[in-house]
Amino acid sequence: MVEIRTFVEDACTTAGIGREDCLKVLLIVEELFTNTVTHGYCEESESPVWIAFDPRDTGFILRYEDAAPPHNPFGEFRPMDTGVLVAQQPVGGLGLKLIRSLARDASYSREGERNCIRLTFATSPSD
Amino acid sequence: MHVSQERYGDTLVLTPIGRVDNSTTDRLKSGLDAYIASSRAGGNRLVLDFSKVDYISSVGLRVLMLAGKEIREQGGSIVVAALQPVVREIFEISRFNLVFQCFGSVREALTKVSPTALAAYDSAHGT
Repeated sequence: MVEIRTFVEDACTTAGIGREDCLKVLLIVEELFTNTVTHGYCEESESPVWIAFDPRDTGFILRYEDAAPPHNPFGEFRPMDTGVLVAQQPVGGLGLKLIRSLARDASYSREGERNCIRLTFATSPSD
Repeated sequence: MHVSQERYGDTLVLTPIGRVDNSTTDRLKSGLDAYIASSRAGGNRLVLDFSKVDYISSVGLRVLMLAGKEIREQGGSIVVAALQPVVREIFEISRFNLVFQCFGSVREALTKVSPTALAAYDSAHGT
């Protein structure tokens, strides 16, 4: 995760992404990577993941890929019940909730042997 | 990430410094566990000073949730102070702001938690 964190921070700097948006990207990548290693690679953290940034006029797209067996994390996502406190929510759903809320748009596709997650962000004007 | 601590009267202020992520959550958990183990039943008050935390992942939120539950079961109280913008957003998304009382600063939290602690804090900080 240290290498990934360094890569993301460098990429954010290069793309002109502000500190707060960069922290949100780091959080999302950590949640995705934890999910990949825990569920996709069965704790084998040396297996590869691929991360790419695509800057746009009003934001950027983050593309995250792994080579784990097919799995759409958003396929089982259920928005939290607003009447139920987080302490009563399924633990695994919290990371997904953060991802879905911090990114403007999120999608999944299976491309060849990879799970591909595409997240769209709008950068903060004041950031 | 490391955790510093200061005692003001009958209240402990724990200050995590850095990012509460997958690789550092154990340090926050150790700090909270030590506090829980040493606290007296019914007489413990804890303020978590988040002024130096950049972000917190779902793993860190889970540690907080479990610690809060344990402290309350002992009859104690735990509140959170000085959330930084990204962490505040994470708290709001996950609705941790409904699980923990959140204050703008440590002093504001102590005002609510304990007059004795507030007096000790003001004395230590010359306010």
